[in-house]
Amino acid sequence: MNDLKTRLRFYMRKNGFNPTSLSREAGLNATAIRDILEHPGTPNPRIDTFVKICHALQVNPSQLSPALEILCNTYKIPAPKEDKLRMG
Amino acid sequence: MTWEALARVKAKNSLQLNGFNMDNLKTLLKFHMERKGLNPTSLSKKAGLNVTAVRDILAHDADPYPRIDTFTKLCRALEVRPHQLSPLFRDLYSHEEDPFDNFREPGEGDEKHIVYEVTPELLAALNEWCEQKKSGQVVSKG
Repeated sequence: MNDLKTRLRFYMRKNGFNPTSLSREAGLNATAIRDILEHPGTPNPRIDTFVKICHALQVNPSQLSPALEILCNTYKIPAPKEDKLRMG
Repeated sequence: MTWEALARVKAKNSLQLNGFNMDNLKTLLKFHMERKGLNPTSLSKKAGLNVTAVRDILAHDADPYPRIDTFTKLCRALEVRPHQLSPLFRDLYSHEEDPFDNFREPGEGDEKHIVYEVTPELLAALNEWCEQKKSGQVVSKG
Protein backbone atom coordinates (compact mmCIF):
# COMPACT_ATOMS: atom_id res chain seq x y z
CA MET A 1 0.00 0.00 0.00
CA ASN A 2 2.93 2.30 -0.54
CA ASP A 3 1.96 4.00 -3.72
CA LEU A 4 -0.95 6.10 -4.80
CA LYS A 5 -2.11 3.73 -7.55
CA THR A 6 -2.36 0.73 -5.16
CA ARG A 7 -4.20 2.80 -2.55
CA LEU A 8 -6.56 4.21 -5.16
CA ARG A 9 -7.40 0.69 -6.40
CA PHE A 10 -7.90 -0.49 -2.79
CA TYR A 11 -10.42 2.24 -1.90
CA MET A 12 -12.17 1.93 -5.27
CA ARG A 13 -12.74 -1.78 -4.65
CA LYS A 14 -13.79 -1.10 -1.06
CA ASN A 15 -16.38 1.51 -2.13
CA GLY A 16 -17.54 -0.36 -5.25
CA PHE A 17 -16.31 2.06 -7.89
CA ASN A 18 -14.84 1.41 -11.31
CA PRO A 19 -12.61 4.02 -13.00
CA THR A 20 -15.49 5.53 -14.99
CA SER A 21 -17.98 5.69 -12.10
CA LEU A 22 -15.38 7.22 -9.77
CA SER A 23 -14.46 9.83 -12.39
CA ARG A 24 -18.15 10.72 -12.65
CA GLU A 25 -18.67 10.82 -8.84
CA ALA A 26 -15.62 13.07 -8.44
CA GLY A 27 -16.76 15.38 -11.22
CA LEU A 28 -13.71 14.69 -13.35
CA ASN A 29 -13.17 13.89 -17.02
CA ALA A 30 -14.45 10.34 -17.75
CA THR A 31 -10.93 8.99 -18.34
CA ALA A 32 -9.23 10.86 -15.45
CA ILE A 33 -9.10 7.90 -13.03
CA ARG A 34 -8.07 5.46 -15.75
CA ASP A 35 -5.24 7.84 -16.73
CA ILE A 36 -3.96 7.87 -13.13
CA LEU A 37 -4.16 4.07 -12.79
CA GLU A 38 -2.45 3.47 -16.14
CA HIS A 39 0.30 6.03 -15.49
CA PRO A 40 3.59 4.22 -16.14
CA GLY A 41 5.48 5.82 -13.22
CA THR A 42 4.23 7.45 -10.02
CA PRO A 43 1.08 9.39 -10.84
CA ASN A 44 1.23 12.98 -9.70
CA PRO A 45 -2.23 14.55 -9.99
CA ARG A 46 -2.97 18.22 -9.40
CA ILE A 47 -4.23 19.03 -5.89
CA ASP A 48 -7.72 19.94 -7.12
CA THR A 49 -8.08 16.55 -8.83
CA PHE A 50 -6.67 14.80 -5.77
CA VAL A 51 -9.07 16.53 -3.35
CA LYS A 52 -12.07 15.69 -5.59
CA ILE A 53 -11.03 12.01 -5.53
CA CYS A 54 -10.66 12.11 -1.71
CA HIS A 55 -14.20 13.50 -1.39
CA ALA A 56 -15.66 10.93 -3.78
CA LEU A 57 -13.98 8.05 -1.93
CA GLN A 58 -14.60 9.66 1.50
CA VAL A 59 -11.01 9.21 2.57
CA ASN A 60 -8.49 11.40 4.32
CA PRO A 61 -5.68 12.72 2.05
CA SER A 62 -3.16 10.78 4.15
CA GLN A 63 -4.99 7.55 3.39
CA LEU A 64 -4.63 8.08 -0.34
CA SER A 65 -1.23 9.74 -0.75
CA PRO A 66 1.89 8.25 0.89
CA ALA A 67 3.70 11.61 0.53
CA LEU A 68 0.98 13.48 2.40
CA GLU A 69 0.81 10.72 5.01
CA ILE A 70 4.49 11.26 5.86
CA LEU A 71 3.98 15.05 5.93
CA CYS A 72 0.91 14.85 8.18
CA ASN A 73 2.64 12.44 10.56
CA THR A 74 5.49 14.94 10.82
CA TYR A 75 3.13 17.77 11.73
CA LYS A 76 0.70 15.69 13.84
CA ILE A 77 -2.55 15.71 11.92
CA PRO A 78 -5.25 14.31 14.22
CA ALA A 79 -7.09 11.13 13.32
CA PRO A 80 -9.53 11.39 10.41
CA LYS A 81 -13.18 12.16 11.14
CA GLU A 82 -14.30 8.67 10.24
CA ASP A 83 -12.22 5.60 10.80
CA LYS A 84 -14.59 3.20 9.08
CA LEU A 85 -12.46 3.23 5.94
CA ARG A 86 -9.32 2.18 7.75
CA MET A 87 -7.05 -0.05 5.70
CA GLY A 88 -7.37 -3.75 6.50
CA MET B 1 -19.71 14.97 -1.47
CA THR B 2 -20.38 16.81 -4.70
CA TRP B 3 -18.21 19.54 -6.12
CA GLU B 4 -21.01 22.08 -5.42
CA ALA B 5 -21.03 21.09 -1.74
CA LEU B 6 -17.26 21.53 -1.65
CA ALA B 7 -17.65 25.01 -3.13
CA ARG B 8 -20.08 25.84 -0.30
CA VAL B 9 -17.55 24.63 2.26
CA LYS B 10 -14.94 26.84 0.60
CA ALA B 11 -17.26 29.84 0.87
CA LYS B 12 -17.91 29.04 4.54
CA ASN B 13 -14.19 28.94 5.23
CA SER B 14 -13.51 32.28 3.59
CA LEU B 15 -11.29 34.15 6.03
CA GLN B 16 -9.46 37.43 6.24
CA LEU B 17 -6.34 37.89 8.35
CA ASN B 18 -4.07 40.97 8.35
CA GLY B 19 -5.31 41.87 4.87
CA PHE B 20 -4.57 38.40 3.49
CA ASN B 21 -7.51 36.61 1.92
CA MET B 22 -6.99 33.18 3.44
CA ASP B 23 -9.25 31.49 0.93
CA ASN B 24 -6.68 31.25 -1.79
CA LEU B 25 -3.44 29.31 -2.18
CA LYS B 26 -1.48 32.27 -3.55
CA THR B 27 -2.16 34.53 -0.55
CA LEU B 28 -1.70 31.66 1.92
CA LEU B 29 1.65 30.96 0.28
CA LYS B 30 2.64 34.64 0.63
CA PHE B 31 1.42 34.64 4.25
CA HIS B 32 3.51 31.62 5.23
CA MET B 33 6.54 32.90 3.27
CA GLU B 34 6.37 36.17 5.20
CA ARG B 35 6.03 34.26 8.46
CA LYS B 36 9.14 32.21 7.67
CA GLY B 37 11.07 35.14 6.16
CA LEU B 38 11.43 33.50 2.76
CA ASN B 39 11.25 34.96 -0.74
CA PRO B 40 10.13 33.01 -3.86
CA THR B 41 13.69 31.99 -4.76
CA SER B 42 14.75 30.93 -1.26
CA LEU B 43 11.51 28.96 -0.76
CA SER B 44 12.00 27.19 -4.13
CA LYS B 45 15.54 26.24 -3.07
CA LYS B 46 14.45 25.11 0.40
CA ALA B 47 11.67 22.98 -1.10
CA GLY B 48 14.04 21.44 -3.66
CA LEU B 49 12.07 22.81 -6.60
CA ASN B 50 13.07 24.61 -9.77
CA VAL B 51 14.23 28.16 -8.77
CA THR B 52 11.30 29.79 -10.57
CA ALA B 53 8.65 27.31 -9.31
CA VAL B 54 7.28 29.49 -6.49
CA ARG B 55 7.42 32.62 -8.63
CA ASP B 56 5.45 30.77 -11.34
CA ILE B 57 2.75 29.77 -8.82
CA LEU B 58 2.48 33.36 -7.52
CA ALA B 59 2.41 34.79 -11.05
CA HIS B 60 -0.39 32.41 -12.10
CA ASP B 61 -3.42 34.44 -13.21
CA ALA B 62 -6.14 32.12 -11.91
CA ASP B 63 -6.12 29.90 -8.83
CA PRO B 64 -2.96 27.80 -9.12
CA TYR B 65 -3.32 24.03 -8.63
CA PRO B 66 0.18 22.60 -8.18
CA ARG B 67 0.78 18.87 -8.49
CA ILE B 68 0.74 16.81 -5.33
CA ASP B 69 4.55 16.36 -5.08
CA THR B 70 5.22 20.10 -5.56
CA PHE B 71 2.54 20.87 -2.98
CA THR B 72 3.98 18.37 -0.47
CA LYS B 73 7.48 19.86 -0.88
CA LEU B 74 6.11 23.38 -0.29
CA CYS B 75 4.25 22.24 2.87
CA ARG B 76 7.42 20.61 4.17
CA ALA B 77 9.59 23.68 3.46
CA LEU B 78 7.04 25.99 5.15
CA GLU B 79 6.41 23.49 7.97
CA VAL B 80 2.65 23.59 7.53
CA ARG B 81 -0.04 20.97 7.11
CA PRO B 82 -1.88 20.61 3.79
CA HIS B 83 -5.02 22.43 4.97
CA GLN B 84 -2.89 25.36 6.17
CA LEU B 85 -1.62 25.99 2.65
CA SER B 86 -4.60 25.08 0.48
CA PRO B 87 -8.24 25.82 1.36
CA LEU B 88 -9.22 22.77 -0.72
CA PHE B 89 -7.94 20.49 2.04
CA ARG B 90 -9.82 22.18 4.90
CA ASP B 91 -12.89 20.02 4.68
CA LEU B 92 -10.93 16.78 4.62
CA TYR B 93 -9.56 17.02 8.14
CA SER B 94 -11.36 17.23 11.48
CA HIS B 95 -9.24 20.35 12.12
CA GLU B 96 -11.37 22.15 9.57
CA GLU B 97 -13.92 22.88 12.33
CA ASP B 98 -11.43 25.22 14.02
CA PRO B 99 -10.62 27.91 11.44
CA PHE B 100 -8.02 29.54 13.68
CA ASP B 101 -6.09 26.30 13.77
CA ASN B 102 -5.00 27.36 10.33
CA PHE B 103 -2.79 30.03 11.81
CA ARG B 104 -1.39 28.11 14.73
CA GLU B 105 2.17 26.84 14.86
CA PRO B 106 2.28 23.08 14.17
CA GLY B 107 2.23 21.05 17.36
CA GLU B 108 0.96 23.86 19.58
CA GLY B 109 -2.10 22.66 21.54
CA ASP B 110 -1.83 19.19 20.02
CA GLU B 111 -0.61 17.85 23.36
CA LYS B 112 -3.61 16.50 25.24
CA HIS B 113 -1.96 15.67 28.55
CA ILE B 114 -0.48 18.27 30.85
CA VAL B 115 2.27 16.79 32.97
CA TYR B 116 3.03 18.68 36.14
CA GLU B 117 6.47 18.39 37.61
CA VAL B 118 6.11 17.03 41.17
CA THR B 119 8.15 19.40 43.31
CA PRO B 120 8.49 19.25 47.15
CA GLU B 121 6.44 22.47 47.30
CA LEU B 122 3.62 20.94 45.25
CA LEU B 123 3.69 17.79 47.39
CA ALA B 124 3.57 19.87 50.60
CA ALA B 125 0.67 21.94 49.26
CA LEU B 126 -1.23 18.76 48.29
CA ASN B 127 -0.64 17.23 51.75
CA GLU B 128 -1.82 20.42 53.44
CA TRP B 129 -4.95 20.47 51.24
CA CYS B 130 -5.65 16.80 52.13
CA GLU B 131 -5.30 17.53 55.84
CA GLN B 132 -7.65 20.53 55.59
CA LYS B 133 -10.17 18.41 53.67
CA LYS B 134 -10.01 15.67 56.33
CA SER B 135 -10.62 18.19 59.12
CA GLY B 136 -13.56 19.67 57.18
CA GLN B 137 -12.00 23.07 56.45
CA VAL B 138 -12.41 22.59 52.70
CA VAL B 139 -15.85 21.85 51.31
CA SER B 140 -15.52 19.40 48.47
CA LYS B 141 -17.33 20.33 45.29
CA GLY B 142 -17.28 16.72 44.13
